[in-house]
Amino acid sequence: MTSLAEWNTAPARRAGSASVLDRIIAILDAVRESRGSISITELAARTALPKSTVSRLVAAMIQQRYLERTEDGVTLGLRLFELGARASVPRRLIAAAAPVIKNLWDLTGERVGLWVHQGTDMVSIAAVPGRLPMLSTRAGMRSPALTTASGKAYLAFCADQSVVDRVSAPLNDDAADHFRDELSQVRASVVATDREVAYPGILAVASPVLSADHVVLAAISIAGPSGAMDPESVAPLVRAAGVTLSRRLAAA
Amino acid sequence: MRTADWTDSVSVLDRVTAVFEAFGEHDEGLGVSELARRANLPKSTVSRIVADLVGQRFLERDGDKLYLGIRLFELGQTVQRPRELRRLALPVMTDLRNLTGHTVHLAVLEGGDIVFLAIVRGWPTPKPLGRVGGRLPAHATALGKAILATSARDVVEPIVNGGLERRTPRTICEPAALLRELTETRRTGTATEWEECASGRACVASAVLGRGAVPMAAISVTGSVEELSSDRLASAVRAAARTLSRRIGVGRIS
Repeated sequence: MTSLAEWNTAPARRAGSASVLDRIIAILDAVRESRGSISITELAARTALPKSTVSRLVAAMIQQRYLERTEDGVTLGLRLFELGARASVPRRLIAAAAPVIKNLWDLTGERVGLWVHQGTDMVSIAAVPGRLPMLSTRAGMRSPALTTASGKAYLAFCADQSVVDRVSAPLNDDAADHFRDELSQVRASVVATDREVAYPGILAVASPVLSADHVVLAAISIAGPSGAMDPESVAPLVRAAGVTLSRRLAAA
Repeated sequence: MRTADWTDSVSVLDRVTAVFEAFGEHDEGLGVSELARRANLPKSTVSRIVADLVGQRFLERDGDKLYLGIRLFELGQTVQRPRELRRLALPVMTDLRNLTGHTVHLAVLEGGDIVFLAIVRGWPTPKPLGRVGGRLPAHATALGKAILATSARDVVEPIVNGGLERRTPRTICEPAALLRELTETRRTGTATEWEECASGRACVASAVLGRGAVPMAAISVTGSVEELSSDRLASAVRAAARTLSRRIGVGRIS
Protein backbone atom coordinates (compact mmCIF):
# COMPACT_ATOMS: atom_id res chain seq x y z
CA MET A 1 0.00 0.00 0.00
CA THR A 2 2.95 2.36 -0.29
CA SER A 3 2.60 4.96 -2.95
CA LEU A 4 5.86 4.05 -4.63
CA ALA A 5 4.59 0.53 -5.16
CA GLU A 6 1.90 2.02 -7.35
CA TRP A 7 4.54 2.48 -10.01
CA ASN A 8 5.51 -1.19 -10.01
CA THR A 9 2.13 -2.65 -10.68
CA ALA A 10 2.92 -4.77 -13.71
CA PRO A 11 1.99 -8.06 -11.98
CA ALA A 12 -1.05 -6.45 -10.35
CA ARG A 13 -2.12 -5.09 -13.69
CA ARG A 14 -2.09 -8.57 -15.15
CA ALA A 15 -4.30 -9.59 -12.28
CA GLY A 16 -6.77 -6.92 -13.40
CA SER A 17 -6.18 -4.17 -10.88
CA ALA A 18 -5.20 -1.00 -12.66
CA SER A 19 -2.60 1.43 -11.30
CA VAL A 20 -3.55 4.94 -10.30
CA LEU A 21 -1.94 6.26 -13.47
CA ASP A 22 -3.98 3.88 -15.61
CA ARG A 23 -7.14 5.13 -13.92
CA ILE A 24 -6.17 8.76 -14.44
CA ILE A 25 -5.53 8.06 -18.11
CA ALA A 26 -8.80 6.14 -18.44
CA ILE A 27 -10.64 9.18 -17.04
CA LEU A 28 -8.82 11.58 -19.38
CA ASP A 29 -9.66 9.39 -22.37
CA ALA A 30 -13.32 9.12 -21.39
CA VAL A 31 -13.59 12.89 -20.94
CA ARG A 32 -11.86 13.45 -24.28
CA GLU A 33 -14.17 11.01 -26.04
CA SER A 34 -17.19 12.83 -24.64
CA ARG A 35 -16.13 15.78 -26.83
CA GLY A 36 -17.41 18.21 -24.24
CA SER A 37 -18.44 17.58 -20.70
CA ILE A 38 -19.36 14.36 -18.95
CA SER A 39 -20.93 13.62 -15.56
CA ILE A 40 -19.22 11.61 -12.81
CA THR A 41 -21.85 8.86 -13.14
CA GLU A 42 -21.24 8.60 -16.87
CA LEU A 43 -17.45 8.64 -16.29
CA ALA A 44 -17.76 5.77 -13.83
CA ALA A 45 -19.78 3.80 -16.39
CA ARG A 46 -17.36 4.49 -19.25
CA THR A 47 -14.21 3.67 -17.26
CA ALA A 48 -15.75 0.72 -15.37
CA LEU A 49 -14.38 2.22 -12.15
CA PRO A 50 -16.28 2.63 -8.85
CA LYS A 51 -18.01 6.00 -8.65
CA SER A 52 -16.22 6.81 -5.38
CA THR A 53 -12.83 6.25 -7.05
CA VAL A 54 -13.81 8.43 -10.00
CA SER A 55 -15.02 11.20 -7.65
CA ARG A 56 -11.75 11.21 -5.72
CA LEU A 57 -9.55 11.23 -8.79
CA VAL A 58 -11.67 13.83 -10.57
CA ALA A 59 -11.46 16.15 -7.54
CA ALA A 60 -7.66 15.89 -7.57
CA MET A 61 -7.54 16.36 -11.35
CA ILE A 62 -9.72 19.48 -11.12
CA GLN A 63 -7.49 20.86 -8.40
CA GLN A 64 -4.47 20.35 -10.65
CA ARG A 65 -6.29 21.78 -13.67
CA TYR A 66 -6.27 18.61 -15.78
CA LEU A 67 -10.06 18.87 -15.66
CA GLU A 68 -12.50 21.76 -15.25
CA ARG A 69 -15.97 21.71 -13.76
CA THR A 70 -18.88 22.55 -16.07
CA GLU A 71 -22.61 22.91 -15.47
CA ASP A 72 -23.22 19.25 -16.21
CA GLY A 73 -19.98 17.55 -15.22
CA VAL A 74 -16.31 17.94 -16.13
CA THR A 75 -14.34 18.80 -19.26
CA LEU A 76 -10.62 18.75 -20.12
CA GLY A 77 -8.67 21.49 -18.32
CA LEU A 78 -6.36 24.23 -19.44
CA ARG A 79 -3.22 22.54 -18.10
CA LEU A 80 -3.54 19.96 -20.89
CA PHE A 81 -3.82 22.78 -23.42
CA GLU A 82 -0.64 24.34 -22.02
CA LEU A 83 1.30 21.06 -21.90
CA GLY A 84 0.07 20.10 -25.36
CA ALA A 85 1.30 23.39 -26.79
CA ARG A 86 4.77 22.60 -25.38
CA ALA A 87 4.92 19.00 -26.61
CA SER A 88 7.58 18.48 -29.20
CA VAL A 89 5.72 17.39 -32.29
CA PRO A 90 8.00 18.71 -35.06
CA ARG A 91 11.15 17.19 -33.53
CA ARG A 92 9.49 13.85 -33.17
CA LEU A 93 8.03 14.03 -36.66
CA ILE A 94 11.37 14.81 -38.24
CA ALA A 95 12.98 11.83 -36.53
CA ALA A 96 10.22 9.45 -37.61
CA ALA A 97 10.01 10.93 -41.11
CA ALA A 98 13.67 10.83 -42.14
CA PRO A 99 13.62 7.26 -43.61
CA VAL A 100 10.16 7.81 -45.15
CA ILE A 101 11.28 11.00 -46.88
CA LYS A 102 14.43 9.30 -48.15
CA ASN A 103 12.46 6.34 -49.48
CA LEU A 104 10.00 8.58 -51.33
CA TRP A 105 12.88 10.55 -52.80
CA ASP A 106 14.68 7.32 -53.86
CA LEU A 107 11.52 6.16 -55.65
CA THR A 108 10.78 9.41 -57.46
CA GLY A 109 13.78 11.76 -57.41
CA GLU A 110 11.35 14.61 -56.80
CA ARG A 111 11.31 17.23 -54.06
CA VAL A 112 9.86 15.71 -50.87
CA GLY A 113 8.72 17.89 -47.98
CA LEU A 114 7.22 17.52 -44.53
CA TRP A 115 4.93 20.36 -43.42
CA VAL A 116 3.18 21.38 -40.22
CA HIS A 117 0.32 23.86 -39.95
CA GLN A 118 0.67 27.31 -38.42
CA GLY A 119 -2.05 29.97 -38.66
CA THR A 120 -2.97 30.25 -42.36
CA ASP A 121 0.31 28.73 -43.55
CA MET A 122 2.04 25.42 -43.83
CA VAL A 123 5.60 25.56 -42.48
CA SER A 124 8.33 23.28 -43.82
CA ILE A 125 10.10 21.23 -41.15
CA ALA A 126 12.10 18.96 -43.46
CA ALA A 127 12.70 18.79 -47.21
CA VAL A 128 14.99 17.20 -49.80
CA PRO A 129 15.49 18.89 -53.18
CA GLY A 130 14.32 17.24 -56.40
CA ARG A 131 14.18 18.70 -59.86
CA LEU A 132 13.08 22.10 -58.57
CA PRO A 133 16.24 24.01 -57.66
CA MET A 134 14.28 27.29 -57.42
CA LEU A 135 12.12 25.97 -54.60
CA SER A 136 13.75 26.46 -51.20
CA THR A 137 14.30 23.44 -48.97
CA ARG A 138 14.97 25.66 -45.96
CA ALA A 139 13.17 24.55 -42.79
CA GLY A 140 10.76 27.28 -41.72
CA MET A 141 9.73 28.10 -45.31
CA ARG A 142 6.06 29.08 -45.41
CA SER A 143 3.43 28.31 -48.02
CA PRO A 144 -0.25 29.21 -47.96
CA ALA A 145 -2.38 26.38 -46.53
CA LEU A 146 -5.29 27.37 -48.78
CA THR A 147 -3.69 26.51 -52.11
CA THR A 148 -0.88 24.04 -51.48
CA ALA A 149 -1.28 20.26 -51.64
CA SER A 150 0.15 19.93 -48.12
CA GLY A 151 -2.29 22.55 -46.80
CA LYS A 152 -5.29 20.81 -48.34
CA ALA A 153 -4.12 17.39 -47.12
CA TYR A 154 -3.82 18.81 -43.59
CA LEU A 155 -7.11 20.74 -43.60
CA ALA A 156 -9.12 17.82 -44.99
CA PHE A 157 -8.27 15.83 -41.85
CA CYS A 158 -8.25 18.72 -39.37
CA ALA A 159 -10.97 18.19 -36.74
CA ASP A 160 -10.79 21.82 -35.63
CA GLN A 161 -13.30 23.61 -37.86
CA SER A 162 -12.02 27.03 -36.72
CA VAL A 163 -8.68 26.29 -38.39
CA VAL A 164 -10.38 25.42 -41.69
CA ASP A 165 -12.66 28.47 -41.44
CA ARG A 166 -9.78 30.81 -40.82
CA VAL A 167 -7.74 29.51 -43.76
CA SER A 168 -10.74 29.61 -46.13
CA ALA A 169 -12.00 33.01 -44.86
CA PRO A 170 -10.77 34.92 -47.97
CA LEU A 171 -12.93 32.76 -50.30
CA ASN A 172 -16.28 33.98 -51.60
CA ASP A 173 -19.32 31.68 -51.27
CA ASP A 174 -18.82 29.82 -54.54
CA ALA A 175 -15.12 29.34 -53.96
CA ALA A 176 -15.78 28.21 -50.38
CA ASP A 177 -18.26 25.58 -51.62
CA HIS A 178 -15.72 24.40 -54.15
CA PHE A 179 -13.05 24.25 -51.44
CA ARG A 180 -15.30 22.17 -49.16
CA ASP A 181 -15.95 19.75 -52.03
CA GLU A 182 -12.26 19.48 -52.72
CA LEU A 183 -11.55 18.69 -49.05
CA SER A 184 -14.22 15.94 -49.14
CA GLN A 185 -12.48 14.43 -52.15
CA VAL A 186 -9.16 14.63 -50.30
CA ARG A 187 -10.73 12.80 -47.33
CA ALA A 188 -11.95 10.08 -49.71
CA SER A 189 -8.71 9.64 -51.68
CA VAL A 190 -6.31 10.58 -48.83
CA VAL A 191 -4.26 12.65 -51.28
CA ALA A 192 -4.45 16.33 -52.17
CA THR A 193 -3.15 17.83 -55.39
CA ASP A 194 -2.10 21.33 -56.34
CA ARG A 195 -1.74 21.98 -60.05
CA GLU A 196 0.27 25.19 -60.36
CA VAL A 197 -2.03 27.28 -58.14
CA ALA A 198 0.42 27.88 -55.29
CA TYR A 199 3.53 27.98 -57.50
CA PRO A 200 3.49 28.44 -61.31
CA GLY A 201 4.89 25.45 -63.20
CA ILE A 202 4.88 23.22 -60.13
CA LEU A 203 2.68 20.25 -59.45
CA ALA A 204 2.43 18.90 -55.92
CA VAL A 205 0.74 15.91 -54.30
CA ALA A 206 0.41 15.48 -50.51
CA SER A 207 -1.02 13.11 -47.93
CA PRO A 208 -1.76 13.66 -44.22
CA VAL A 209 0.28 12.32 -41.29
CA LEU A 210 -1.94 11.20 -38.41
CA SER A 211 -1.26 10.32 -34.78
CA ALA A 212 -2.35 7.05 -33.21
CA ASP A 213 -5.56 8.79 -32.15
CA HIS A 214 -6.18 10.08 -35.68
CA VAL A 215 -5.24 13.66 -34.93
CA VAL A 216 -3.66 15.22 -38.02
CA LEU A 217 -0.10 16.31 -37.26
CA ALA A 218 1.45 17.19 -40.58
CA ALA A 219 1.44 16.55 -44.33
CA ILE A 220 4.05 14.89 -46.50
CA SER A 221 4.31 16.20 -50.05
CA ILE A 222 6.07 15.63 -53.31
CA ALA A 223 6.58 18.43 -55.84
CA GLY A 224 7.85 18.32 -59.41
CA PRO A 225 7.70 20.17 -62.71
CA SER A 226 4.14 20.32 -64.02
CA GLY A 227 3.90 18.16 -67.15
CA ALA A 228 6.99 16.13 -66.24
CA MET A 229 5.62 14.50 -63.09
CA ASP A 230 2.51 12.35 -63.35
CA PRO A 231 0.18 12.98 -60.39
CA GLU A 232 -1.62 9.66 -60.93
CA SER A 233 1.54 7.62 -60.59
CA VAL A 234 3.00 9.49 -57.59
CA ALA A 235 -0.30 9.64 -55.65
CA PRO A 236 -0.13 6.03 -54.35
CA LEU A 237 3.51 6.55 -53.32
CA VAL A 238 2.69 9.71 -51.36
CA ARG A 239 -0.33 8.04 -49.75
CA ALA A 240 1.82 5.07 -48.74
CA ALA A 241 4.46 7.45 -47.31
CA GLY A 242 1.78 9.19 -45.21
CA VAL A 243 0.47 5.86 -43.93
CA THR A 244 3.97 4.56 -43.16
CA LEU A 245 4.89 7.72 -41.27
CA SER A 246 1.62 7.63 -39.30
CA ARG A 247 2.35 3.99 -38.36
CA ARG A 248 5.92 4.79 -37.34
CA LEU A 249 4.61 7.55 -35.05
CA ALA A 250 2.04 5.24 -33.47
CA ALA A 251 4.57 2.46 -32.94
CA ALA A 252 7.36 4.62 -31.50
CA MET B 1 -7.38 1.74 3.72
CA ARG B 2 -9.54 4.26 1.94
CA THR B 3 -7.49 7.15 3.31
CA ALA B 4 -4.23 5.56 2.21
CA ASP B 5 -5.66 4.94 -1.23
CA TRP B 6 -6.79 8.54 -1.52
CA THR B 7 -3.40 9.90 -0.47
CA ASP B 8 -1.74 7.65 -3.02
CA SER B 9 -3.93 8.85 -5.85
CA VAL B 10 -3.14 12.45 -5.09
CA SER B 11 0.56 11.82 -4.68
CA VAL B 12 0.74 9.95 -7.98
CA LEU B 13 -0.92 12.88 -9.70
CA ASP B 14 1.34 15.34 -7.85
CA ARG B 15 4.42 13.52 -9.06
CA VAL B 16 3.18 13.28 -12.63
CA THR B 17 2.49 17.03 -12.57
CA ALA B 18 5.92 17.75 -11.10
CA VAL B 19 7.51 15.76 -13.95
CA PHE B 20 5.43 17.48 -16.66
CA GLU B 21 6.11 20.93 -15.26
CA ALA B 22 9.84 20.24 -15.07
CA PHE B 23 9.93 20.61 -18.85
CA GLY B 24 10.59 24.17 -19.94
CA GLU B 25 8.70 26.40 -22.34
CA HIS B 26 10.76 25.21 -25.27
CA ASP B 27 11.23 21.85 -26.84
CA GLU B 28 14.10 20.78 -24.66
CA GLY B 29 15.09 17.22 -23.87
CA LEU B 30 15.92 16.35 -20.27
CA GLY B 31 17.75 13.39 -18.78
CA VAL B 32 16.27 11.53 -15.81
CA SER B 33 18.74 13.14 -13.37
CA GLU B 34 17.90 16.67 -14.50
CA LEU B 35 14.20 15.83 -14.46
CA ALA B 36 14.49 14.49 -10.89
CA ARG B 37 16.38 17.61 -9.81
CA ARG B 38 13.81 19.98 -11.32
CA ALA B 39 10.81 17.96 -10.08
CA ASN B 40 12.42 17.69 -6.66
CA LEU B 41 11.82 13.93 -6.54
CA PRO B 42 14.13 10.95 -5.99
CA LYS B 43 15.73 9.72 -9.20
CA SER B 44 14.38 6.19 -8.66
CA THR B 45 10.83 7.54 -8.38
CA VAL B 46 11.25 9.62 -11.51
CA SER B 47 12.63 6.62 -13.42
CA ARG B 48 9.49 4.62 -12.63
CA ILE B 49 7.12 7.48 -13.46
CA VAL B 50 8.97 8.13 -16.69
CA ALA B 51 8.82 4.47 -17.75
CA ASP B 52 5.03 4.46 -17.27
CA LEU B 53 4.53 7.82 -18.97
CA VAL B 54 6.70 6.78 -21.94
CA GLY B 55 4.68 3.57 -22.19
CA GLN B 56 1.53 5.66 -22.42
CA ARG B 57 3.07 8.17 -24.88
CA PHE B 58 2.71 11.07 -22.44
CA LEU B 59 6.49 11.37 -22.60
CA GLU B 60 8.83 10.20 -25.28
CA ARG B 61 12.38 9.01 -25.07
CA ASP B 62 15.05 9.83 -27.63
CA GLY B 63 18.39 8.33 -26.58
CA ASP B 64 18.76 9.32 -22.94
CA LYS B 65 16.71 12.49 -23.33
CA LEU B 66 13.01 12.77 -22.52
CA TYR B 67 10.47 15.07 -24.11
CA LEU B 68 6.79 15.91 -23.60
CA GLY B 69 4.95 13.38 -25.75
CA ILE B 70 2.51 13.36 -28.58
CA ARG B 71 -0.42 12.25 -26.42
CA LEU B 72 -0.25 15.56 -24.56
CA PHE B 73 -0.39 17.30 -27.92
CA GLU B 74 -3.46 15.25 -28.86
CA LEU B 75 -5.23 15.96 -25.58
CA GLY B 76 -4.25 19.62 -25.76
CA GLN B 77 -5.93 19.92 -29.15
CA THR B 78 -9.26 18.78 -27.77
CA VAL B 79 -9.53 20.94 -24.64
CA GLN B 80 -12.91 22.54 -25.13
CA ARG B 81 -12.63 26.01 -23.59
CA PRO B 82 -9.65 27.23 -25.65
CA ARG B 83 -10.97 25.45 -28.71
CA GLU B 84 -14.40 27.09 -28.54
CA LEU B 85 -12.97 30.50 -27.65
CA ARG B 86 -10.51 30.24 -30.54
CA ARG B 87 -13.27 29.26 -32.94
CA LEU B 88 -15.38 32.26 -31.95
CA ALA B 89 -12.45 34.67 -31.63
CA LEU B 90 -10.34 34.03 -34.73
CA PRO B 91 -12.57 35.91 -37.21
CA VAL B 92 -12.84 38.85 -34.78
CA MET B 93 -9.07 38.76 -34.19
CA THR B 94 -8.36 38.67 -37.92
CA ASP B 95 -10.63 41.70 -38.47
CA LEU B 96 -8.87 43.58 -35.69
CA ARG B 97 -5.48 42.70 -37.18
CA ASN B 98 -6.63 43.83 -40.64
CA LEU B 99 -7.99 47.07 -39.18
CA THR B 100 -4.90 47.93 -37.14
CA GLY B 101 -2.08 45.96 -38.76
CA HIS B 102 -0.90 44.95 -35.30
CA THR B 103 -0.48 41.54 -33.70
CA VAL B 104 -3.67 40.47 -31.89
CA HIS B 105 -3.69 38.22 -28.82
CA LEU B 106 -6.42 36.30 -27.00
CA ALA B 107 -5.72 35.16 -23.44
CA VAL B 108 -7.49 33.82 -20.36
CA LEU B 109 -6.66 34.17 -16.67
CA GLU B 110 -5.26 31.10 -14.86
CA GLY B 111 -4.29 31.82 -11.27
CA GLY B 112 -2.10 34.90 -11.33
CA ASP B 113 -1.07 34.42 -14.95
CA ILE B 114 -2.58 34.88 -18.34
CA VAL B 115 -2.41 31.98 -20.82
CA PHE B 116 -2.37 32.81 -24.54
CA LEU B 117 -5.06 30.94 -26.48
CA ALA B 118 -4.59 32.44 -29.93
CA ILE B 119 -2.28 34.85 -31.73
CA VAL B 120 -2.88 36.51 -35.11
CA ARG B 121 0.38 38.04 -36.29
CA GLY B 122 0.49 41.65 -37.46
CA TRP B 123 2.41 42.92 -40.48
CA PRO B 124 5.22 44.68 -38.70
CA THR B 125 5.96 41.63 -36.61
CA PRO B 126 8.17 42.38 -33.68
CA LYS B 127 9.73 39.42 -31.96
CA PRO B 128 6.69 37.62 -30.55
CA LEU B 129 6.50 37.84 -26.78
CA GLY B 130 3.81 35.26 -26.32
CA ARG B 131 3.23 31.85 -27.83
CA VAL B 132 0.03 29.86 -27.80
CA GLY B 133 -0.13 27.99 -24.50
CA GLY B 134 2.48 30.29 -22.94
CA ARG B 135 2.05 32.33 -19.74
CA LEU B 136 2.83 35.83 -18.54
CA PRO B 137 2.06 37.41 -15.14
CA ALA B 138 -1.41 39.01 -15.28
CA HIS B 139 -0.50 42.23 -13.44
CA ALA B 140 2.29 43.03 -15.91
CA THR B 141 0.10 42.74 -19.02
CA ALA B 142 -2.81 44.73 -20.48
CA LEU B 143 -4.60 41.41 -21.12
CA GLY B 144 -4.31 40.44 -17.46
CA LYS B 145 -5.34 43.87 -16.19
CA ALA B 146 -8.38 43.91 -18.49
CA ILE B 147 -9.54 40.59 -17.03
CA LEU B 148 -8.72 41.49 -13.41
CA ALA B 149 -10.58 44.82 -13.75
CA THR B 150 -13.80 42.94 -14.53
CA SER B 151 -13.24 40.02 -12.12
CA ALA B 152 -14.85 39.42 -8.74
CA ARG B 153 -13.01 40.60 -5.64
CA ASP B 154 -12.25 37.02 -4.48
CA VAL B 155 -10.38 36.45 -7.77
CA VAL B 156 -8.48 39.75 -7.71
CA GLU B 157 -7.43 40.03 -4.07
CA PRO B 158 -5.24 36.94 -3.77
CA ILE B 159 -3.41 37.96 -6.94
CA VAL B 160 -2.90 41.60 -5.97
CA ASN B 161 -1.79 40.67 -2.46
CA GLY B 162 0.16 37.57 -3.48
CA GLY B 163 3.34 39.41 -4.46
CA LEU B 164 3.67 41.21 -7.81
CA GLU B 165 6.76 40.17 -9.72
CA ARG B 166 8.83 42.91 -11.37
CA ARG B 167 9.44 42.34 -15.09
CA THR B 168 10.70 45.81 -16.07
CA PRO B 169 11.27 49.10 -14.21
CA ARG B 170 7.71 50.04 -15.24
CA THR B 171 5.88 46.96 -13.93
CA ILE B 172 3.25 47.94 -11.37
CA CYS B 173 4.32 46.04 -8.25
CA GLU B 174 2.50 48.10 -5.61
CA PRO B 175 -0.91 46.55 -4.73
CA ALA B 176 -2.53 49.96 -4.18
CA ALA B 177 -1.22 51.29 -7.50
CA LEU B 178 -2.47 48.19 -9.30
CA LEU B 179 -5.94 48.56 -7.76
CA ARG B 180 -6.04 52.21 -8.90
CA GLU B 181 -5.04 51.07 -12.38
CA LEU B 182 -7.84 48.47 -12.37
CA THR B 183 -10.39 51.15 -11.37
CA GLU B 184 -9.21 53.29 -14.27
CA THR B 185 -9.45 50.27 -16.60
CA ARG B 186 -13.05 49.70 -15.50
CA ARG B 187 -13.82 53.35 -16.21
CA THR B 188 -12.38 53.40 -19.74
CA GLY B 189 -13.11 49.79 -20.74
CA THR B 190 -9.50 49.30 -21.90
CA ALA B 191 -6.33 48.31 -20.12
CA THR B 192 -3.00 49.58 -21.36
CA GLU B 193 0.53 48.31 -20.92
CA TRP B 194 3.51 50.58 -21.56
CA GLU B 195 6.78 48.68 -21.21
CA GLU B 196 5.45 47.00 -18.06
CA CYS B 197 6.12 43.50 -19.36
CA ALA B 198 8.96 44.04 -21.83
CA SER B 199 10.85 47.20 -22.66
CA GLY B 200 9.89 48.87 -25.92
CA ARG B 201 6.56 47.06 -26.09
CA ALA B 202 3.05 48.38 -25.62
CA CYS B 203 -0.34 46.71 -25.55
CA VAL B 204 -4.00 47.75 -25.39
CA ALA B 205 -6.56 45.18 -24.19
CA SER B 206 -10.23 44.85 -23.40
CA ALA B 207 -12.13 42.13 -21.53
CA VAL B 208 -14.45 39.67 -23.26
CA LEU B 209 -17.50 39.10 -21.09
CA GLY B 210 -19.76 36.07 -20.87
CA ARG B 211 -23.04 35.52 -19.12
CA GLY B 212 -23.53 37.71 -16.03
CA ALA B 213 -20.71 40.00 -17.26
CA VAL B 214 -18.15 37.43 -16.06
CA PRO B 215 -14.83 37.92 -17.88
CA MET B 216 -14.07 34.94 -20.13
CA ALA B 217 -10.91 36.24 -21.80
CA ALA B 218 -9.29 39.42 -23.08
CA ILE B 219 -8.33 40.54 -26.56
CA SER B 220 -5.42 42.90 -27.30
CA VAL B 221 -3.29 44.59 -29.93
CA THR B 222 0.44 44.69 -29.36
CA GLY B 223 3.25 46.66 -30.93
CA SER B 224 6.24 48.81 -30.19
CA VAL B 225 5.67 51.91 -28.02
CA GLU B 226 6.26 54.12 -31.09
CA GLU B 227 3.63 52.30 -33.15
CA LEU B 228 0.86 52.14 -30.60
CA SER B 229 -1.19 55.28 -30.19
CA SER B 230 -3.49 54.14 -27.45
CA ASP B 231 -6.44 56.46 -28.19
CA ARG B 232 -6.82 55.43 -31.79
CA LEU B 233 -6.55 51.74 -31.02
CA ALA B 234 -8.57 51.67 -27.80
CA SER B 235 -11.94 52.04 -29.51
CA ALA B 236 -11.07 49.33 -32.08
CA VAL B 237 -10.05 46.92 -29.31
CA ARG B 238 -13.19 47.68 -27.27
CA ALA B 239 -15.38 47.12 -30.33
CA ALA B 240 -13.66 43.77 -31.01
CA ALA B 241 -14.14 42.71 -27.38
CA ARG B 242 -17.84 43.63 -27.54
CA THR B 243 -18.29 41.68 -30.79
CA LEU B 244 -16.62 38.64 -29.28
CA SER B 245 -18.70 38.95 -26.09
CA ARG B 246 -21.83 38.87 -28.27
CA ARG B 247 -20.58 35.86 -30.23
CA ILE B 248 -19.92 34.04 -26.94
CA GLY B 249 -23.42 34.93 -25.71
CA VAL B 250 -24.86 33.33 -28.85
CA GLY B 251 -22.39 30.44 -28.76
CA ARG B 252 -23.28 29.79 -25.10
CA ILE B 253 -19.85 28.79 -23.76
CA SER B 254 -20.05 28.45 -20.02
